[in-house]
Amino acid sequence: MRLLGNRKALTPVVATMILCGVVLTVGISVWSFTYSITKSLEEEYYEEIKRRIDAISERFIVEHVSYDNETGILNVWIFNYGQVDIQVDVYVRGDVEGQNATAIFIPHGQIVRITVPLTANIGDELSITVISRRQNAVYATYVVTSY
Amino acid sequence: MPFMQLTLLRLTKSKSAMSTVLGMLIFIGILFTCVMPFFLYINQVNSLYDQTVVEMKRQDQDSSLENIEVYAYPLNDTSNQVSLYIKNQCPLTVEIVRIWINDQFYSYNIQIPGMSWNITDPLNVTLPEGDSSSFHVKVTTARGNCFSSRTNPLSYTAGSGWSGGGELSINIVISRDYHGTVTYNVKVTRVSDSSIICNDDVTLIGNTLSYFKKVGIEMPDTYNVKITKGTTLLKEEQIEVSWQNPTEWVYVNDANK
Repeated sequence: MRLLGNRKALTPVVATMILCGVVLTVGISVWSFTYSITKSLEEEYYEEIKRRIDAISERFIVEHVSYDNETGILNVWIFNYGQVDIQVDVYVRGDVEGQNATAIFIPHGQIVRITVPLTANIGDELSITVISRRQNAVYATYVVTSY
Repeated sequence: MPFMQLTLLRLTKSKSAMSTVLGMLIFIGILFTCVMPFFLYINQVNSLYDQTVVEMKRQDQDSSLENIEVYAYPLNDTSNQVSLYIKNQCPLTVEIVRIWINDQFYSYNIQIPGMSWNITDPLNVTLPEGDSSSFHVKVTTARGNCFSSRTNPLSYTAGSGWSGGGELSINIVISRDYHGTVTYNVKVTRVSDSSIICNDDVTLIGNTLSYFKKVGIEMPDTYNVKITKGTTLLKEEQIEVSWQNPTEWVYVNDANK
């Protein structure tokens, strides 16, 4: 009754409520901002680590190489025995040069034949470099033969 | 006690105390709901990366441990079918995913437990009619290793049949026309001094229709090859091994169960 009768007592109550409201508003805003920033950082960090994990998980070999004298095509069979899908480019150096840099897609566990057009003769020695788009490289050599 | 009462009195009278407490609570809330989970999450992701590194190292180690011997052989001297005898020489189970014959591959799926062997089903090859052809055979494992046949290159010449292998050896091929369990004895002796080069029992089980045995020899000479099934003599032949023809092939077909 004393408080209700005293109008001066309302001011500190209202002031306290306003102060609390401001603190809560600013605090929740800061919390919301921090939350979104940390979530965003988490996602970015995970994506970066995932990229690195995929890069170290890549496993592939040049399983077989053959040269078709009639068509002038070097066939390179790449076996992706890792656990991630890959995209590769093939570069051929040595006695003759050629490349197929079209980022051939190879699903994991699959073998894919990649063709490289070049003109080679029997006995030519070739160095084959297969580079994945995650910058892993595999090398092979091949001497052009005919069965 | 008077100190506590004094402090509480001060706090209740202070207008800024409430907001200070709220601010502190919000700060602690941010710490517990944003910052700490963030560091815990990063720790988990780092653990995932480390785990992957360890797994890949282990996989590479397994891959480097793989060691198999592959022998491609024709079923008989004029056969257009080739089988592979694969001996796993490592403690790991090896999974064969492909067989290559020259530039053609056959998808395959056989698993060979550590230190055991397996024979593949016969694969058809195209034989030349008037000329000779050579066949290079290799297999690919699921761990990404390729192993060439030790009898490479297998050569077929129309009229004279199969040949192949560059080591001093007698390659014995036993084929049969029925299923079940049967034991053969392979005995190779040097004719000049009757010394025994090989005297092994070979047991074929289930639906394995052929078997390959490579008998390595030390020097060119004439050797007696004798293959028996129980007391039944299947084949006895004298083979001359020379540097010109270092690898000789002996074919035995067991038609009677």
